[in-house]
Amino acid sequence: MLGSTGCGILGGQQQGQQRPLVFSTSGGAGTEATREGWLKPFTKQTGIEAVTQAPTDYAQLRSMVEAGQVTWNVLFITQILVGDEEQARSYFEPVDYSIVKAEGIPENLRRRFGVGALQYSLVLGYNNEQLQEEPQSWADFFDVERFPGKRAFPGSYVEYYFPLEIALMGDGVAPDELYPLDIDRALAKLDTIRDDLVFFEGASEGEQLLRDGEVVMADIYHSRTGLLEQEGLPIRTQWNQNVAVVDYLGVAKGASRPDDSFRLIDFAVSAENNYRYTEYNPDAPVNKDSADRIPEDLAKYLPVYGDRLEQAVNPDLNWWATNLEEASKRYEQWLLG
Amino acid sequence: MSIYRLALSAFGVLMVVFLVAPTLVLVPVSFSSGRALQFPPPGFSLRWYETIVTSPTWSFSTVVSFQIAVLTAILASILGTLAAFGLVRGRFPGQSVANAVLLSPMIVPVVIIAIGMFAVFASWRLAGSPLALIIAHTVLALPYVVVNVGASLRTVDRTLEAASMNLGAGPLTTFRYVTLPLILPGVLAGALFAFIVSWDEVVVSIFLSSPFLQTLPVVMWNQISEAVDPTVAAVATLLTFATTILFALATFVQRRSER
Amino acid sequence: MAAGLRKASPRRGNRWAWFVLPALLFLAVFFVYPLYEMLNRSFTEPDVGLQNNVAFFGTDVYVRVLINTLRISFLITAICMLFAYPYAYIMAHASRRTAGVLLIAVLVPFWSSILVRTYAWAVILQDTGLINSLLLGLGLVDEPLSLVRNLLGTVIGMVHILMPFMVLPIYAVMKGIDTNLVKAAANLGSSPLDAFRRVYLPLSLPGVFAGSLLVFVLSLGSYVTPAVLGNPDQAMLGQVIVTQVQSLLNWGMGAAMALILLLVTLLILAIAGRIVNIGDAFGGRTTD
Repeated sequence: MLGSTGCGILGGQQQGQQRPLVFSTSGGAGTEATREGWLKPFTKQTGIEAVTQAPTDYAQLRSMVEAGQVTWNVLFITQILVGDEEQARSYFEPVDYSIVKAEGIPENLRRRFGVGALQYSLVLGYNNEQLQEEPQSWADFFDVERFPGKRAFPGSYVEYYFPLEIALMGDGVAPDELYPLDIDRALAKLDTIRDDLVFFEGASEGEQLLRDGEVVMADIYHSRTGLLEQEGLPIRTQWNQNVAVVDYLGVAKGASRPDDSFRLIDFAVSAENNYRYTEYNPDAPVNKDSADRIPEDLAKYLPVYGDRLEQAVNPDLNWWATNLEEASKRYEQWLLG
Repeated sequence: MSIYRLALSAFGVLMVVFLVAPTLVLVPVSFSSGRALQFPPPGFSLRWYETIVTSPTWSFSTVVSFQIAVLTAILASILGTLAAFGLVRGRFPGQSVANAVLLSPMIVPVVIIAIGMFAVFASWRLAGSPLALIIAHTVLALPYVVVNVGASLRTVDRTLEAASMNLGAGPLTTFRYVTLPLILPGVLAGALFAFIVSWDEVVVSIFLSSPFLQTLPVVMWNQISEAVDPTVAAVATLLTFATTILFALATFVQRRSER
Repeated sequence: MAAGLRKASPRRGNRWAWFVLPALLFLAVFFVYPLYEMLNRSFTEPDVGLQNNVAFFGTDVYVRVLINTLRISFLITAICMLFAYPYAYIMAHASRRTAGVLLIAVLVPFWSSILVRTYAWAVILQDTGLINSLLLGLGLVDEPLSLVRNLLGTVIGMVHILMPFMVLPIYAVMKGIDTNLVKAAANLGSSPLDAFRRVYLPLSLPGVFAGSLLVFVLSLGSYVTPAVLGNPDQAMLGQVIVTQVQSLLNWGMGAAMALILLLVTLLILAIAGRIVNIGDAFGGRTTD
């Protein structure tokens, strides 16, 4: 084992070789999907080497950009950051649409600093063995009389799990009338079930809570409930009122070899390759022409299946661009009691 | 007396159970066929060990981590032991400020240190190098050495040193044969903490490493930042097993040599 | 005794002072300077001024988190001290083999990362976890006990993670204690308990102070364990700082919080040093 690894830190870098492109991902299965689904075929086709790094820590990105030493090339960008162009311009290169052809990517997902790449959803995941009937909407999530039991809810990160939108829908606000968010009303609604909430730090903890039967419902990513269902566990997904999220691909500001970086993005969002990621991690391709290539048994767990996108709520990125800090602070203060 | 001894032994056993409990959970989980930390595991498999052994990333980063931790422990032990002598036996203006500075790396949240260090190290073209990791880990480890050696040093009976000097031994000989043996447990405890601090450190290491040079915790963090799967339990099991064997061997050899 | 020796030769004390210099220089370049660059942002981001500090103390939730952080840290330190002292005592006076086993037990937790250990505790403590399954299975309880995602969970997890930092310094000091002193005291007619209290305990105190210092300071900064095993209404300042810095990229506020944490901690250590001479564990005067 040690023999094959040289002498560690004394080994040094090989001279004269061009460094591979660095693709920053979220970690875990997402890293594997990026590597197997996109990077390997990309290298095979173009001869350009690329490696993954994880997780994408924006504080690290900011440090690198400020120091002028950016080692990442391509990275996933959240839709809220892409929507906030004022902030995005400090961290990302404007997308070079002469290289990134983005055919099949909807017009509204071709943004200045990022190209839409993956589609996922926040859903109401539930345990259909512990619950007598199936919850139909977020209103049921807040109905502790009819649906007794604990619920898993985010312990931070309003912008990833949308607890405020969910609380308002639970309070009867129509999905198309959510914005501007009435934060006071949302928190008041959350107060009504506070004792029934179990707060998780990250998605894997939320998944663990559902898996172990610690909670009967959860505000969680569709990929997590899908994987649990595929494992044969009694976990199901309620797609009604799912919150649709798009992850974008962009190039770090000041990254070396921007042209090769954009070529990699062009490759990843193309109809031939966008879906390859999905074979390893069940986030859906954004490219409409790519989604059709996914086999039915996998497709039925995806947010682009059937009319799920029509049932979905789309977060208002403009509202979030100006209100992230305030919303985050208010939710954090509510959590702290 | 015997009841007192019995109570003490029972307490010791309970404490051992408490200390090893999480590891006892992790060992079976590492052989799980499921993809989560689930107890009891749904089935038996070696797939997580296969991941570690077959992936060059894991073994390379293990070697890197070990080397950096050893060098950190050495550097921190030397600097920290010297500093402890200065703080315990020295009298100088600004001593309380020196105290505070030497303790501060423990108090400031690591993410703050990480951002500050990255900015400065990057401007020195050090970021991403093994040297940067060793320096950063030594900064974080220094307080542990100073505190431990300082505590041991305070119990040293200085009349012994004075006696040695009176009998004609030089300061170095006195240090080697009188002082050092007395503070050795403290120095070893400090060095051990320094090793562990380096070995376990994630936050600063994430900032200062590069995709081409990663320590083991950084690789593990990449793995578990999205899903806590049994690979990390397998790593924990392997390390626990290896170190326990090493430790038992060391004790055995030591006992042999004493005969 | 030592103080008398030192008073007799003040020059020697000054010569020892030089030994601090290498470590101080090292920290000045590689720690104080980078830290200054970062903490300075609390006064410059987003605007120049004290706005971040004003905002911190003007937000009563943050002040409550700070107080809560201190409260929990004191609690953890006290519990660790209570359990580590007898454990270290057994270790220091047991046969070589027993001592070896006890030492391995202290070191074993180090080999799995804090996050993994924390998750393992969740597996043990949660409603469907090991302990509750056992209790329910034996019919000892009708409903699962709430052992986790509350203060109890935080305390169990943190005590476990920080215990080695209390045990080892106490053990190291105990190993250096001359047991003949205790025997002498006993021979001079003290009862064993009295001999322990008047001779052994004072001699072992530097280890207790050193361990308490490590555990207290480490508790103050912890954020992984309270986040997973605790409840948000028991959040600690470390968690709030991480959210500010990594999630909101609000470095000005994050730096302000870190600076406040640093100053409050140093203040407490200074006060504690005056009361129980805890500073002696670190340097300072000898209590004779």
